[in-house]
Amino acid sequence: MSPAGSDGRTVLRIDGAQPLSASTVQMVTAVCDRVEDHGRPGVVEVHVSGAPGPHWTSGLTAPLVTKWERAVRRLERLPMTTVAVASGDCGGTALDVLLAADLRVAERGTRLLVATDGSVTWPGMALYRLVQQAGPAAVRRAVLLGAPIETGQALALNLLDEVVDDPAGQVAALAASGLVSERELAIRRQLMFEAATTSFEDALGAHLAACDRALRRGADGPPRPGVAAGAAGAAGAVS
Amino acid sequence: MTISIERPETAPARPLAVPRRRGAAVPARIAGVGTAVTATSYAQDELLDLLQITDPKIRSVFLNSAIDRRHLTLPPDGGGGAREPEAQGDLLDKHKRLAVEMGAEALAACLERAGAGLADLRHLCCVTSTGFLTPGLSALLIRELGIDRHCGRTDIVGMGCNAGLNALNVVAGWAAAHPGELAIVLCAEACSAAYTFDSTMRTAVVNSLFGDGAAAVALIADAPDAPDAPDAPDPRPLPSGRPGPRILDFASCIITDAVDAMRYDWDRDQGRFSFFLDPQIPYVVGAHAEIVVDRLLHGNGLRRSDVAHWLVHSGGKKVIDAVVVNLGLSRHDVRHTVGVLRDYGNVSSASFLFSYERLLLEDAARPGDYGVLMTMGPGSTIETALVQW
Repeated sequence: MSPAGSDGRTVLRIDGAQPLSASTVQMVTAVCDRVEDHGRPGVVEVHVSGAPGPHWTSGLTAPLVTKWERAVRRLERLPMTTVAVASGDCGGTALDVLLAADLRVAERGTRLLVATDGSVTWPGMALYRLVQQAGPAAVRRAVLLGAPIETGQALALNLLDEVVDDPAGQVAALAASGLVSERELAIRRQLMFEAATTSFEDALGAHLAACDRALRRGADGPPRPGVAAGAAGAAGAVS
Repeated sequence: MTISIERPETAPARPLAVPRRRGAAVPARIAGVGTAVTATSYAQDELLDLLQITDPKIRSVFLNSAIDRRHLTLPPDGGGGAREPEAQGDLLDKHKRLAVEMGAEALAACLERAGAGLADLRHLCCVTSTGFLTPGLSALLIRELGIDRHCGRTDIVGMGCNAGLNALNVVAGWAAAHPGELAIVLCAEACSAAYTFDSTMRTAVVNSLFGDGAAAVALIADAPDAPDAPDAPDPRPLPSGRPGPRILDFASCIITDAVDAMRYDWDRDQGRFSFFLDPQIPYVVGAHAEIVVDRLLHGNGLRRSDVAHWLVHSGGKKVIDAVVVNLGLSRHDVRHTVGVLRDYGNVSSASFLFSYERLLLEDAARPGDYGVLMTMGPGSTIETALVQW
């Protein structure tokens, strides 16, 4: 892990071959702390690789899994752009973190693996994210039987964005391109998550509030007075 | 309405390492909560028929309010299906009757949860904005319930939907100054007594939103020698058997540019008080939510992600959406806020305590968890409190 530098780059490395431990949770939480305290635009690079062996769940406890899922969820909602750099087999904690990233580049030969405990697949939130992101039919064999998702399939399902020879260079170019964000990105991300499960009518208010916020902020300038289109009528009030 | 946002000089990017403590006093804990409503509830479409509302725009306001049911006390049928008009005097009488009835019921439920009785009560702070009473609600309840005549009293009248947290701030201070003595904040809002029925959009917004409700919350500060640290091995349980959250801090923000955006004032045409809400006010509140919440949290060395429980006033669909977006909350974070709005409408100052009660029943809060209570109302104002289980 490296702290957010002046260019707002933070690097996190997750080895999926290692069983989940308190130190893994601590590492992700520490990155989240730094990024939230940084408060400015930046990129979180998450290098993921490795998949756990068959007996990786021995010694695992429900409270530790709870803390881990909470940490990954926090990573998923960070006020910065998160970019995963994947290589080789990615399973366990590596897959968890990969599926929580905004952008995902991978080396050739990268495979996504739903970990098994030796007999059956692990029912953690990677299963949920795979289904949310790719649909149940596309990932059925992976989440039920542990069948690897090969590079081409992962690309076709948009679980990976790009396969490149030099992922690290790709991320550096991305960071230099100015495609970096802070809290405003997190708002769009949250709207995106909720769009999948919210009706148009229920979503409208949040989107109008986000539009109002964008108008107040102006394109790039300081916050300014602004109002959103009163498209929703006067329904709803405050006091 | 054009409101400029005065943001603080750059907030500290990194929270302070050491939480600020408010003097040496042991902070008050929430020892119990209780709620009450009036007898009759109505679905929104049922109300449209009862009130013979045919204007499609107004019907749309009722039906798109994210409210399923509200408890209301409507005037009797005046013949021909139309409800009898109520003069201001009738509304004041209704407020007095309902506030005392609901208030007494909420107080009893709260004391039962706190494992206490009326005889344990040392300070009663009553909050209402839906009617004017002198002597105040506290005096009426003391008489009605036979509470000790020496019980301390405060009445907070007319502050609006945010007033529950203004009261909590003052009473938490009282409780901290009187360790071991029980204080109650009681919010009793007979919103049916604040209605004006005409065909304007101004009253339609109000009439589609508010419901009757009361909620009481009990506060007590442990004796100074009781373990106080959040990780103390064995905090002294309150009579309820489980320690409630400690009240750590408050932060407020008044948006004076929007002083007229929410009003409950005299309508000369109607000859009665009437409520006014500027359609833009949800956005104004949303735009200022970060300022006050960050002030509350930074002052205590916390990040927003450190907060496990958010109890936001159920002001209305638009303002909840605006707060959620601007604070980066999830739908799950405001499940109780949204649920209370759906089941009761906006019960003004009592709303956030209805949400707190649901959180309590859910049993989701764990020792060490932080919670933020947030209310919004006229001023325009945002009030916040930080609590820790």
